[in-house]
Amino acid sequence: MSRVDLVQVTKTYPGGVKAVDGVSLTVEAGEFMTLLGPSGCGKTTSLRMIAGFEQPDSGQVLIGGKDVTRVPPYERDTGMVFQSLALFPHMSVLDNVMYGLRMRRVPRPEAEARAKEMLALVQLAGYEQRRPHQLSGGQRQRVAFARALAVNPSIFLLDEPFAALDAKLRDELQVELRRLQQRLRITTVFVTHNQREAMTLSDRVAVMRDGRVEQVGTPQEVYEEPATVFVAGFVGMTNLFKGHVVAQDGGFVRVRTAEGFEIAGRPPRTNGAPPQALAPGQPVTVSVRPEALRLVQAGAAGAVGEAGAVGEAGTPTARESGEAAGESNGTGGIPVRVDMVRFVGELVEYHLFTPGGQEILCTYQRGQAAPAVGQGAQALVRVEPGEARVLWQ
Amino acid sequence: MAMRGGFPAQGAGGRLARALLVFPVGMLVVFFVVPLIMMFVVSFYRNLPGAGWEPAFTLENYVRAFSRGLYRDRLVYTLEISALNAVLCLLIGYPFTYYLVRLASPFWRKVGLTLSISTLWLTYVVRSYAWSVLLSATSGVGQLLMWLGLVDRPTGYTPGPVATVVGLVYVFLPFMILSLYGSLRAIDPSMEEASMNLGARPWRTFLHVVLPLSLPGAAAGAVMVFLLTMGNYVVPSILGQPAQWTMPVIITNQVMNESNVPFGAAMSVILLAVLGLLAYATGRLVGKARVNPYAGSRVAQGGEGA
Ligand SMILES: Nc1ncnc2c1ncn2[C@@H]1O[C@H](COP(=O)(O)OP(=O)(O)O)[C@@H](O)[C@H]1O
Ligand SMILES: [Mg+2]
Repeated sequence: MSRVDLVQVTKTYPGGVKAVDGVSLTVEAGEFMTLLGPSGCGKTTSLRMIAGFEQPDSGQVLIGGKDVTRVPPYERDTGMVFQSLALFPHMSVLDNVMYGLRMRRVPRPEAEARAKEMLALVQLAGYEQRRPHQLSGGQRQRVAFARALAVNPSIFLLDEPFAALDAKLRDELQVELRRLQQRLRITTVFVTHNQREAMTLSDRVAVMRDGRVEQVGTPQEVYEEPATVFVAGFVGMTNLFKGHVVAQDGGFVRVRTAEGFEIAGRPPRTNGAPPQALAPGQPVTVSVRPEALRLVQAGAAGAVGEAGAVGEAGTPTARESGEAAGESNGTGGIPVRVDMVRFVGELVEYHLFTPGGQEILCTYQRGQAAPAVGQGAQALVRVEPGEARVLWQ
Repeated sequence: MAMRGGFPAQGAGGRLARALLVFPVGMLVVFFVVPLIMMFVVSFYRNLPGAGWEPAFTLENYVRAFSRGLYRDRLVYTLEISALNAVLCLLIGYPFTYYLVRLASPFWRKVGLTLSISTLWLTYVVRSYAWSVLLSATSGVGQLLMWLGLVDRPTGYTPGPVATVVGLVYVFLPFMILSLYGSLRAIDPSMEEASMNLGARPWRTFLHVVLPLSLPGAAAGAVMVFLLTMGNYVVPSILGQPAQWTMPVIITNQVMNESNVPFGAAMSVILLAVLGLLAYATGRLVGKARVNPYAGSRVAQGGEGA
């Protein structure tokens, strides 16, 4: 159990691709850190630099506080699970798991006992003599875990290990991986482009884009307080409204969207820096999660009828009655047309269109009182107070 | 002509298909099976010195082939030089092919492979004479060594053992490279990385992972080179002295110069039997190794992923 530090690490491939661009990241001892980002953003390259398969052009890699930037992979003491698993096809399951121990010159009986212990830990006792090709996908995955962990490495590295599995098996193995990681309390760096996987597995997530880390935080932080438009859009579903600042009062920033509606949201994350004042007129983007939007039937909203939707779009009003009255930050609703209502098991999804043609997604949990609006209906959508987040453009 | 009706073809189509087969099968029978049988039969005939041969059933040709030290030695020598050539091709071809396969650029990889097998376009004869010139005292290597100051006077290596071995390696190396290339290319590079990740230095990684996984290709290449060398007439006859003559050269000599067709036939049968036996044995061996040599490799899993 050691911590990992990447210090201003940069890597450019011979072809000229800058795969990793000044990444600094600390993984605490025993922590489960996920590198999350779209394909090609440099996750694998970062992981391979920790394992020692790639040399950074500049910057340092530290394991347990020790500079290992120039240490070859076979002396780094990391256990890696490869995307292709890379199990040795000419060896039995037992020999695969023993491999690392044998390379460390652990005597055979000892190595065998340890390998069997690891196989039992991943629920593969009794499979010792099989060959990898005689196992199912999930079993192979677990052999790869056991092989990487048998040498008791100080760092556990995984590169999209579940990408090729079907959803159900992936879920099972995710739970198993998390359990294994917590039991062994091993520092883990996990790579995925699947934000759901990142959220459910990790202690912290590093969201990457174009070779840089955009935000590091707990899954909740990254989801609820995205630092950038990219993070907001990549981690979970969100509705983004471009606009500009009207005023900042209290804890909220009032933003007028391009279509002329007003939304109040919390100011951008400062990442520790002193908060910067948002000048009126400053272009920003507002991110609102689908579950933070509430849908009100146009009729129930009182004065805002169909006319409100078709007429001058830029007149959100405080004329609504009922629930709307409680809102104190002075924003109204956005008139929308219901394009589609979908049941997605535990969720109901409303696909909505603003008069200006922007698509909005609004979801209700099962059991929440969902408004009875059907396809084609006119309605009003409102942001739950405090749930919108203003982001630098 | 419509081939409707499919199988079993009873109509004109089926008859045509069968008619089309007559040609290749006929060729095979006329030019392969019949000569083989004739050779087998003739090997039991009696040689009449200076007067051809007469039909008979005698084992004297075989007795002579095995009892005379000369011919036994030639058979042993043929086996030896073929084995030597297989080993040399493997030792030279393996590192070269491994390097080729690991080239990052697909373009240079293809160029390298194409160049290394391009000599197959030329016949054995041309390639052998090329070496015969290169290794002679008056040109090529001999002059080069003198110019470098390594020898006092240019030496000729041809005809002789050096030229024979050089020629054989040169001629059969492409087969080895081709065989190894497929086998090494099928090994997922992350296998080696996994091994190093688990603490194995490059040399041990090679020994425990790369070598075993490429063994089928190496074995197939070695067997191919071995069998091809055993059957080769051109290289030892052009680049070798009588001491380097292999069975095919001896056989040709018996038939063409000594006019002893039955004895040539008997030695051909022996050579063929040895070749067939070796081919069968290695076929069995490779067949057993084929349980699933590439399971889990890039080929079996289809694709390298992101
Ligand atoms: N061996 C390589 N040679 C050249 N470019 C590479 C190599 N590996 C990755 N790249 C490039 O570097 C960038 C980052 O790749 P990678 O780290 O694999 O991203 P990710 O794992 O996030 O998909 C991509 O643009 C990719 O094409
Ligand atoms: Mg990747």
